[in-house]
Amino acid sequence: MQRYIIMRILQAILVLVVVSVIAFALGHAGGNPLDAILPDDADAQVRADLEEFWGINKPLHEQYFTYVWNAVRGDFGNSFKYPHFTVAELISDRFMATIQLAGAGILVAVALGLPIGVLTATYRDTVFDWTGKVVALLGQSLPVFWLGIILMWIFAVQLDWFPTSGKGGIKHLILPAIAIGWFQVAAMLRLVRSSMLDVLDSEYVKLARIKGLPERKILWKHCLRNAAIAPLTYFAITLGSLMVGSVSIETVFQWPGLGFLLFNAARSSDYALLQGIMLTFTTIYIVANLLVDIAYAYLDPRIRYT
Amino acid sequence: MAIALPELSSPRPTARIGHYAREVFRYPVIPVAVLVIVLLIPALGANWIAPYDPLQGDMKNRFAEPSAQHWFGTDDIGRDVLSRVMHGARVSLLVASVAILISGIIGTSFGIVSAFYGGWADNLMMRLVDISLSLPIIVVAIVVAAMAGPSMKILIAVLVLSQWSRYARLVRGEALTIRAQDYISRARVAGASNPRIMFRYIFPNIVNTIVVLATLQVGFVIVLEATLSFLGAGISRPTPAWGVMVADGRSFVTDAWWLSFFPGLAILLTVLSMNLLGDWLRDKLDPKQRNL
Repeated sequence: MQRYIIMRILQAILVLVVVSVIAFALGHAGGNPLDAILPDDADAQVRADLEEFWGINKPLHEQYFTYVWNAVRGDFGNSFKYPHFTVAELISDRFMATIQLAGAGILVAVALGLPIGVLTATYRDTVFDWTGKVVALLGQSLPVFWLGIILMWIFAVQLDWFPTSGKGGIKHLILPAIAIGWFQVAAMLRLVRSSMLDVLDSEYVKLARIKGLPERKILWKHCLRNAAIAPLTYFAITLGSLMVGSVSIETVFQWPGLGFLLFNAARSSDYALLQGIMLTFTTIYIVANLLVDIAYAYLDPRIRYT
Repeated sequence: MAIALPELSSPRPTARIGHYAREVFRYPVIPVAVLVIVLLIPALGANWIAPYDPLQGDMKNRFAEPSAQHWFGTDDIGRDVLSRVMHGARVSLLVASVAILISGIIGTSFGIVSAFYGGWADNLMMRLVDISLSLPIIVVAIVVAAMAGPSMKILIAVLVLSQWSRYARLVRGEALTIRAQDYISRARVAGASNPRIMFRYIFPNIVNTIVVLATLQVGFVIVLEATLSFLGAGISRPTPAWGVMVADGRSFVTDAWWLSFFPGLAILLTVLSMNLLGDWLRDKLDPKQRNL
């Protein structure tokens, strides 16, 4: 167990190193930045001074370690597009908006996926089961950015129930939350369905039936409590992948989070900002995956490495 | 005289509908038909059947609603949306098939070699697979495209990067069981070389698994390609690609719903049919991979 966790942590660190090398290499892909800033006939002394100031004259590996050391301390440099802010300020400013959207997405997934999953497992081969299958299939097949635009067109433009985009009260949150939660509804539904089917077969459910408990109580109390453990632990920690998935939804609804910031930084070629967001996103994603794996290793000993 | 008969012979109407539904779903007739109409025919024949030029706009006829002349309407510079959706099918089909072919070849070779040699090589190769599976691919793709400029080559490279490891992991698992079979030891005794064992004795036994995975991944790759194009990290304008068209329509959603609706519908229908077809193939060819 300990061995597995240590291996898994080492692996996560290795991935982070790979990503930081990619980020660092991308920053250097454009050649020497001084060529872009200085005129061709610039004084050699000025050039040397600037190289000294920015550390460009140092060997590459030294530059890399400086870069990583700064990044670990939360210093990603300055944004080109927004010269009055550091990258770190911009990221922390948008961070909560993305967390809020991802959290709302999880809420939608649980609120829809859990009951539909229970119903499809209980009433197999009925209308409920068919509905559940269609929802699951659509969840896999609908491109979320398109779903977002269609939701916007129906509920914001035609019916005028919600605002089309931006951030504000709870009304601004509903459409993007449904769009981002949709894919997760399908995943949730399938997880709940399969674990409900297992539980419905178990001895203690039979006992509850023999005791003469009402079916409603057996289903929603005895079964669901046991069947929900696996899907809920899975969901508590998929925040990482939800955050990454938020890029397209935030762009559709112009939600001022990290994903929309990433999109805008890419459009305006704001490299320092791009690298900062990339490192932030990957770190969250990798740490979240690490936590999922460790949690699962505790819950299900079969998946540990041997 | 036929008073009581109908009640006796016909069960509940819903059950009868269920019976017909099962008959139709025994073979994936509808998904294949949808794929042929939405993806194959437009992709192969867009040059001949598209009613208008997909790039040439008619500035006097901007934002025309869907009508008999323009079935899917026209866009902000008067280009025919139907023609653009047809040409978009070509881009989607091309990108998805090239990406899946390359990642299938890389992943399969990787998985077979890894399972065949085992030991530290296997360990190292599987850690590489883990690393590539744990990259948030959308973020990486956006950053790479922003730095290097979006192009079809980079798009395909990114898609391969996100896909090959899935084949590698699955193929390795299958190859491990096959390697332990008696006929592999016998082939070795008979003097077969390592490459011959890998590609003449192991590979043919996992073709079904690979075909099933590839079919199930087509939909995923098409959505990923569309998402990246939507985010400006894929196909660049003015090439008509479904993701780009949905993105361009977003700004006009209040006045011209058809700009985003039809290309998105094409993505949905293609991916939905591909997934249904993949499920069916999996049940037919490779029933043990139920959890794919």
